[in-house]
Amino acid sequence: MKQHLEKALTQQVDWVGDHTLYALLADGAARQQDLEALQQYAPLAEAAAVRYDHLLYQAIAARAWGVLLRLSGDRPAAESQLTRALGQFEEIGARWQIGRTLIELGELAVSQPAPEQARGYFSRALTYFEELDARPDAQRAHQKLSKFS
Amino acid sequence: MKAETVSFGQWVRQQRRALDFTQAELAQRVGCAAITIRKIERDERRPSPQMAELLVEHLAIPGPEREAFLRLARGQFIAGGSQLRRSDGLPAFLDPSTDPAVAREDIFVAREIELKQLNSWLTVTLAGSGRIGFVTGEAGRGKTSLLAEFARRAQEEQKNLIVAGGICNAFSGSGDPYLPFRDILRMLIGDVEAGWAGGAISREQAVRLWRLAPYTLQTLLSDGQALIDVFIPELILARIAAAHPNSPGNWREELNRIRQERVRRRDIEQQQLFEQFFELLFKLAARQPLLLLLDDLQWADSASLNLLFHLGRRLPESRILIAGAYRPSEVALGRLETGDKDDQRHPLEPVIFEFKRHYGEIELDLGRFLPEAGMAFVEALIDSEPNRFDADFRQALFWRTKGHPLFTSELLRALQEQGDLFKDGEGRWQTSPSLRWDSMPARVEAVIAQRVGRLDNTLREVLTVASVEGEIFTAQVVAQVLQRGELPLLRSLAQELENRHRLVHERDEIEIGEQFLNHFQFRHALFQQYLYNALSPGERRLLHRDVARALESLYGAEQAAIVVQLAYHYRQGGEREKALAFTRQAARQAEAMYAFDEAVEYVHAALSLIRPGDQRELRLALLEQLADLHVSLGERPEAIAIYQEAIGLQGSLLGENRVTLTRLHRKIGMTVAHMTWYEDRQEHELLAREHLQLGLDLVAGRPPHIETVRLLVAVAEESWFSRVQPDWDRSEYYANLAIEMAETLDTPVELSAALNTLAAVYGARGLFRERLQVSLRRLALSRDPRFDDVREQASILTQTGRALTLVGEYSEAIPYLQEAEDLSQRIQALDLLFYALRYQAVCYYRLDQWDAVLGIEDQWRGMAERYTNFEERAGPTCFFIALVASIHALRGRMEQARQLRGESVAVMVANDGPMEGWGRDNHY
Repeated sequence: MKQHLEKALTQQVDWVGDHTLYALLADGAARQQDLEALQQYAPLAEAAAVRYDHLLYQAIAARAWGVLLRLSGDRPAAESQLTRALGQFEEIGARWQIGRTLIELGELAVSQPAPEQARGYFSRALTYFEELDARPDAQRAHQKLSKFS
Repeated sequence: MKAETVSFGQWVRQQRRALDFTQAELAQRVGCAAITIRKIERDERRPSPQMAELLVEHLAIPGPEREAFLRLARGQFIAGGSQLRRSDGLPAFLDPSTDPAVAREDIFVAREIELKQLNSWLTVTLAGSGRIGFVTGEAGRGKTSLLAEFARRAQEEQKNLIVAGGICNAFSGSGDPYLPFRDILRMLIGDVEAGWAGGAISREQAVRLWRLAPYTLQTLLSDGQALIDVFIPELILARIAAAHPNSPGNWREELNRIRQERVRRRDIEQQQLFEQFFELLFKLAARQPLLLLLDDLQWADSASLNLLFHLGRRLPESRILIAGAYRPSEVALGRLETGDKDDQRHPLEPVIFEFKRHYGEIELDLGRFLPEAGMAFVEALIDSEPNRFDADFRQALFWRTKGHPLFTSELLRALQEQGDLFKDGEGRWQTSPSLRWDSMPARVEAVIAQRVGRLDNTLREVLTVASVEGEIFTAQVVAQVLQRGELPLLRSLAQELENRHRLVHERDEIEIGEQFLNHFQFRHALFQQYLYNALSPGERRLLHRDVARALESLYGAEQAAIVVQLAYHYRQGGEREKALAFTRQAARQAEAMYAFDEAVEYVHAALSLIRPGDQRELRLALLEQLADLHVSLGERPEAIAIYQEAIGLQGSLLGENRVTLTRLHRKIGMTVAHMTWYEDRQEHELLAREHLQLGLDLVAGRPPHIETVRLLVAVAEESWFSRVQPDWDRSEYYANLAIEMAETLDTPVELSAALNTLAAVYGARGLFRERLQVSLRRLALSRDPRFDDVREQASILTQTGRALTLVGEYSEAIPYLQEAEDLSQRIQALDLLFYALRYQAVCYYRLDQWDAVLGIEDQWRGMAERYTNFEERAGPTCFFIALVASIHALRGRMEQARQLRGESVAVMVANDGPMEGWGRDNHY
């Protein structure tokens, strides 16, 4: 996917803007926990999303920043970014995105460590995934929760 | 009889019954058509004073009552008598106590094998797999009779089958758009009175059609709006709706709304029209199966054949059987188009070829000489009346006619007329000793010549004039041309030519303005052709001219209904100015009906009527119209050549008109820009630029003008649309000039077009918020009452929705996209409908409303199954498929996701070539 999106970035803009491509690249990097790609695309995604006042992409960029900061060890900054992302996703009403952000917040809590908080995040995420019938994500949330039992 | 207690019609009817006359018998005595008596009895028509006197005499009205009878005849006409309602919801004209005024006496015998085949097609249709089939054979082979008998039997066996039919016309047919389908739709909305009264359809058929009518009306008003005034005049629709007791309650409001919208709708396409026609038939057939008969397809207009092709491919999903008839020899001859030097392939030929490929065996050939079947036909025909004919006579008749149906029946009639056959004391036919087979005609044409030859001069003259009008002719036209009284002429037609000689039959009576016109039809087209061919070219020309003048005067203010016929007769009659005027009118009518091939033909015909060097302005207008039509047909290189010819002509005009020239230059530029294939655009790119520049030179320094705005928009579009390296700065410059001028002129449509080009520039520069502002401005303009293009409105709504998605305002985008969906659905604009759905799906996907996306997928898959050439018409579906694949992956259905991803890539490769050449959208 990354390869296609990077190729697209070199091509003429029409209906697919750079902000979309940066958001997808940053989000992909966050899912892959790819620090290098996150460092490359999270700032670009954020700048592009702000430029167009694109709330969804701002939230995706904030989450990417959250993951990047967690992986870099800056937990307070990571929490701030992820909380911001969660608020924006809730404003939009995008339930899968909310679930995914809750998972990231859970991971951050695990690394602190704050197991009760983490369990709460994972449990809330599971509810969202189950509502959507997002089975692979629900399964992952289950696995994470099972570690606390 | 108390005149005060009954209407005049009731009085006539009671008196006629008291005297034990049939309507036909009374008509014969009074000397009018039977249908006239029928209308008088229903109080739909008042007799002329002369006819009233004859009625007094023949109905034996007693002396003291005569004055009251005549007074009533003059003054107490009940308007709209046919709309008297009966308790069973049937109109008065379908009262079972009244016999049809004209009873057809055609005899049908044999043809059991063919009927069986037709029946097998009907059986599969009734099982839900509709199809098409054709009866073929040369003139007189009995195609029409076979279809009629098949329809009769089918209706007897299938109590809910609906039968409707249309006939193509030899003279006007190939230029009269959708002629047979217009007949069909008129029947389906319940306009059956004339057909039933004229004997063309049975009472049972008329009753079923009448009962179906409210449903047809409802479906037409909700799903077939584009068909109104193309296939069915609004006035007729309103008349039937007003007369029918079960019409939808809101028909007036609906019709009113449709009329207003139609004025604003400029840009629906022929495909949409066809789609609506099929949808209407499909919905009717879901309720009751349909048998549609199309006769004489060798004379069908191109628009009808295009529609037939469209319908034919969709029949398997319906309970519709289309049974057509045509003469193979006429199809094999091809058709000479006015604008071409050479004969062209007959347009029916590829249609038949495609249907054969699709359905396999579709033809029933009545032209093959099959001795057993031929002999069986002869035997059955002979034995349809009591006789004493021996085997020798039967064999001799068979070998003379080879079982040719028309030849056999006409030869028998000729033998009867000349006394070679006679009835004995027991009423049985037998041969006379004078019968000599060797002196009998050897061909059907010769029998026809003999039969016509036996007519006296007066009758022959009547038929000769009639033959010039066509196979179906108007009694009043013949009366005017021959300067005879209407009554004596109707008497000649009804009593002599119909009853005695059986050469014509009455078809229907229609009301035009304040008068009634009676249509008759030759019993067979070969009679009409024989009489017409016997005329010298000079006679033909003069008679065509007289027929045209008579038709024009009889139709008066309602000439629009017969423009095609007037154009034809005036052209044949050599009246150049009239021919030109009506031919242009016919072209405009055809264009308004999306029958572009016919319109092209008429414009060519109009051009050929202008003498070289004359009427240059008119020639110029016609050339521009012709080029526009080629654009509508997608024939862009042809269009460019004609625009150039028009520019050449314009240049030679005194006081050259800058606006016209500017428009022509602009049209060339736009024609190139909208060429489908990149290679074509490249080939014409320089030419387009050259013409647009010539246009710019013409308007330089001139005051603002609407045509200048359009030119500036065209230049702005051309700057990127057809170029390998788009010049966005140039595009923005001209878009802004166009916007400024359109604002000055206050023209919302042009301003919207100008803004659209600016939106493209913003899109290319990634200025999506700015692009959204432009879209919202266009949307506001499209709400202006002067904005009269519904398709463009739908397009603007979709683009606004799309612009909102680009900046992440998905929830805000959805209502616009839903409005676009509704509007596109209403005008059956499949491409816009699909785009509206596609961007709704994007919004729902981004909002994580996956079930809503899958709901749209169902809708879209349904459309793909339902519509022919879906991909071609809706545009690439790869993005949408990829979206659905993602949802399946997110739900863990990996196999489905993989499959759909593969499908998506395959669509992209099919549309945009291998991955190496993909653009940004593809990679995304």
